[in-house]
Amino acid sequence: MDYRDRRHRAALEAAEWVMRLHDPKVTRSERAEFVQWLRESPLHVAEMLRVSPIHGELAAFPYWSEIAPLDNSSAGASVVELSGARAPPIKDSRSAVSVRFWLGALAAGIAILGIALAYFGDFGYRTIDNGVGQRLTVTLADGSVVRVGPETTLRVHFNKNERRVMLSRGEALFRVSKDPTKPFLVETHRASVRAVGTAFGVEQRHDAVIVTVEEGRVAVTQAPTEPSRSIAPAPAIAEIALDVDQQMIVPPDGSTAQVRKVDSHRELAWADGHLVFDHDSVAAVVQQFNRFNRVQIKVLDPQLAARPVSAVFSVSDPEAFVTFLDAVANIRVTHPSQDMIVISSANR
Amino acid sequence: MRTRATHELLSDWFQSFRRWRSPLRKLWYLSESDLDDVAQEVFLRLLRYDSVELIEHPQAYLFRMAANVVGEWSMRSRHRHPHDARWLDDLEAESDPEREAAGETAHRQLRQALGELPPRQREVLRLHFGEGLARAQIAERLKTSERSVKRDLINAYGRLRILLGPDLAADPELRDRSE
Repeated sequence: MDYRDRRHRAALEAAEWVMRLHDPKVTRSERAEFVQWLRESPLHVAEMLRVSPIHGELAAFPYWSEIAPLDNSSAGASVVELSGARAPPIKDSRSAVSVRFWLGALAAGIAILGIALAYFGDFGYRTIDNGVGQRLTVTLADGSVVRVGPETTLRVHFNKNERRVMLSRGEALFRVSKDPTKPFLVETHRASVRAVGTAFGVEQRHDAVIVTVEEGRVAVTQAPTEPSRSIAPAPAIAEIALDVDQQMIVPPDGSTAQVRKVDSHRELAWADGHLVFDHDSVAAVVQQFNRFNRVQIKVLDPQLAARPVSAVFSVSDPEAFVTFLDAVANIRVTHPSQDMIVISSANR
Repeated sequence: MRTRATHELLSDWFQSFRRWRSPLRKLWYLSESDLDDVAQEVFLRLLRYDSVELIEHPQAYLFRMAANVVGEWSMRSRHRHPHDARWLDDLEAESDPEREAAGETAHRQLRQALGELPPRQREVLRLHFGEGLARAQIAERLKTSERSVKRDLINAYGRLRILLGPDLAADPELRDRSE
């Protein structure tokens, strides 16, 4: 396992420990288990020291009342619920805050409803078309969130029976809000992905379709081999279920799709603004950066282009990659124009 | 009855947290590699320390040890490189206005990071910390299982860890790996 994967895993384990240790029912044997875990690796100690302050900062965060509650169709119900005796304020001073808070929440709810209506009203169809270097996060009318990558085109169409997104190029990460009565469908020319409430990424690359599941479960249907006239899903072709951390690649030639195990955090890291590379070639890294940014990088010699790189970068910072490369390899950097960085090996 | 217990608990842990907040926040501003150095030293001390004691208050010992390591190193480095220990001096800053400013920065960063979380994870955090609901109550409110609430919480922490952490690209260990 990669260093960064190990680190991420340790962070999640640390998060779980933070929660378990704050549970009043924590037993002595659990605490002993925790000490054992700490003594397993300095990485565990480091991540525990990193994650614990998050817990502390969350608890001390004074502006929770300004964080909008999740827009559920049951928003009205939860207002009623809280005004009951379910959660009495800790101190008197808090009741004033909570009244203000609920007024705010109500206003936010109405605003969101307004936006939802606007979506349905004006955009029965809504098309999103990102160019090079563009990224976009869109909240759909049902509360689902789509992160749309660069060079991506998708069309959103919701009706009362289903939620449908047509992805004609590029990549997008979907966090689908749960609604068992309306399946969420993402369609590409090669495959159709069906979800109820989950998080997954879909990418069209070189005519192949890549589906990666981060949370929950989705069902993928491969389109029939002969090119169909409509993008409607093929009838009577078996669905393949994908679970967390599974990835399916639907090849362009219509042959059977392969399912493999992946680290979905790494695969979908672009959506969080990170590019993660693990023994990828400089050429592959540059290609990714060029998709996400206006500033284009050009690599002159093939030897440098083939060099493997393992690192994590911010998607919007190609300069950081060039600096990194400069630190680990002997390179020459020139800037022929404002939007162009040319790199080559220095010893030629 | 149940909510009352939850609130007592919560205030308990606010107390214990307040005690550790300041040293923890100091750690938070260390770079990835400095923190790893501190962790390495704490790890060695943990191995030497008496288990029975540790198991009684593991977190308290962990934070104390980390605070001690940072303190000792800051003292040593000030003697050795008087101008080369800016971050350590920053950590030493205990004056109230400075601490308050650091607090506001942390709040701002946290608010921004919360905005980048998936809505559902944000909602679970809001219900837990903002409204003081226990996991079971959150599950009830969101019409889901306690297990899935727990998962959302853990994933939210994992994501906040990345969103709030110092730039991993600057991590020397990651650099070394590409050699």
